[in-house]
Amino acid sequence: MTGLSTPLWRAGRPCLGVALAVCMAAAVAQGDESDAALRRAAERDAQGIGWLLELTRQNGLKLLVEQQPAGQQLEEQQQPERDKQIAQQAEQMQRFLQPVLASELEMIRQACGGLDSAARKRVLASGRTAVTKAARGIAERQLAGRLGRDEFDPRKAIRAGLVAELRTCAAPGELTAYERELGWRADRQALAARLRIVAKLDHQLDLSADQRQAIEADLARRWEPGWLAVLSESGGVVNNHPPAPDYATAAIESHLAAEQKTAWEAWCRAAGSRITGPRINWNFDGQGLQNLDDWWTK
Amino acid sequence: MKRHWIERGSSLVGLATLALTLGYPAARAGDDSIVLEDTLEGEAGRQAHMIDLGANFDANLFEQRGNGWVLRGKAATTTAGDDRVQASPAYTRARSLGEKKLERIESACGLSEQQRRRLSLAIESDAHRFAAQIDATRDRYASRQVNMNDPAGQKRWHAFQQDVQRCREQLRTIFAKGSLFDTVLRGTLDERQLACLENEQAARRTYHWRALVAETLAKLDDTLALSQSQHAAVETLLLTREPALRIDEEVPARDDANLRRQLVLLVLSEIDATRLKAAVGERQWRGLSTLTAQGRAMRSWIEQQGVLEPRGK
Repeated sequence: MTGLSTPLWRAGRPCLGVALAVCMAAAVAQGDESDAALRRAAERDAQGIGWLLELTRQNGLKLLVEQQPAGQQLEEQQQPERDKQIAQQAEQMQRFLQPVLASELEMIRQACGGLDSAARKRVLASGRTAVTKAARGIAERQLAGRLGRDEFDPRKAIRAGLVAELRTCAAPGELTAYERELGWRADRQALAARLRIVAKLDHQLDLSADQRQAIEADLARRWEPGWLAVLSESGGVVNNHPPAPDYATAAIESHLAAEQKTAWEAWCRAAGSRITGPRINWNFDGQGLQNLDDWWTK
Repeated sequence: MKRHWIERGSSLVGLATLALTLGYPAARAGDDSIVLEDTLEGEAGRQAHMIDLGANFDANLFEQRGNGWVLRGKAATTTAGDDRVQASPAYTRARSLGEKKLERIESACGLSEQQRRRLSLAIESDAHRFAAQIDATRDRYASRQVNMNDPAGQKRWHAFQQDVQRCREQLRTIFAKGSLFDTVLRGTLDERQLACLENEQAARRTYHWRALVAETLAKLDDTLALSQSQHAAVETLLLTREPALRIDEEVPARDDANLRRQLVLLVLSEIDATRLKAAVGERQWRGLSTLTAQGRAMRSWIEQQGVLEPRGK
């Protein structure tokens, strides 16, 4: 159903109707004797739909392509309303992102305490601009149903805006200190992700101490930043299993005993990343300091 | 299949709505969730407000991960004449957990054939004891339906949830201190083996605590803007206060990221506030003290999740 409905939806309402009718007909056709009338009606519909589908098959995707302009027209009509919704949502998100800005500014203040008043105001202004853009980025993705489906990270976007300004006004020594802190923080996050992956494996596969150590070392050797996604998992289960970190198979599999390997493969089949799909979240929980430090406005 | 999918879908949606509007405790807490796992058929399908407790007992005790709830419409069938104990899913699960535990001990300290046999017998005995207790509760719900539209039915459902929760706790502690297995284990292993086993468990517990601390502090880094030295100071304070994590038992609740975070915040809240305050700046302390207050407030909920050894053990 999913694979079929996606292109049909783009083609506009008539084809969506066909997709729904196919499903309804298929489901209704399975009814019992008391639903004979319904079934006959469903069969009639199915025959009609069969003819439509055959026509579509014979003409390739022509039917869908021909309807595309109507869909585009509809989208154009809906655009102002969508823009309004995005603007409203972005405004809310701006408030939501203020603590993120406050904590990013705090980190700068710790390393760059020598910034003069004018520089501080410029950095703050660039941060606010970055918040506005990031809020818009969230709102657009939310409305398109793709938040968390790409690499967009509001915190990183805000930080990038701040750093760009900071590079123009911070003393070189302070800027270096700040960037060093950022590097250390990234290292800590990577370590946390590796430990989390090993802890997950240990719960599922009962690793020995040597295995834990060996896998952790191998994860470090083959480290990929995308693996940080493990820190965003909220605890949901897939097929009654926690998501399997199969993206790091190369660093894991060779360290497992035969029985563990069998269990690992079964786990990956049930809840591997091919099933769960990419899911990139960011730190929404307890996301920042609550009040902007007035040092930035002095 | 008696009804077509639209009506069946409505039943499921209705049941989900019912589940949420009734405000089950599971729906309120953390990651707890109610999952409609099976299609509702026959009479139950037409009357979605009728819940078969017998069918839901095994599903919620043995199949559901964590402390969430699953509502299963289709009743499990049992064959007449089955041996009651052998057919008991409680017995099967207990045996499986026991065997897993035995394998873990074997790989940690090695076992002679005689030691293995003695421990297997203890597992068998504990599994029977456990199954008898669980089955007594389970039998009370066999073929019993409740009407969720009726306050009396809702009350029975809540009582059912409490019973299942109690059984979940028993499941987590079948082979814990006080069990025959634990007693036999201590009398069967020699000193070297016991030391080996304790070291292995301690190392495992420490590793998991380190992972929990790293994960939570990685978030707090962003939240509080911790510098490397501040992070190190808070981390040291946390690592020296390793809680009694329940490490060997199957505790699916530990998959819950919020629970892991709250557990670390709870331990953070137990650290002398002046030491914590000294580790961070004034502005950061305001944020940190709010978080530790959250962790402190979650203590009873955390303890209910079974991730910590019961107090006094």
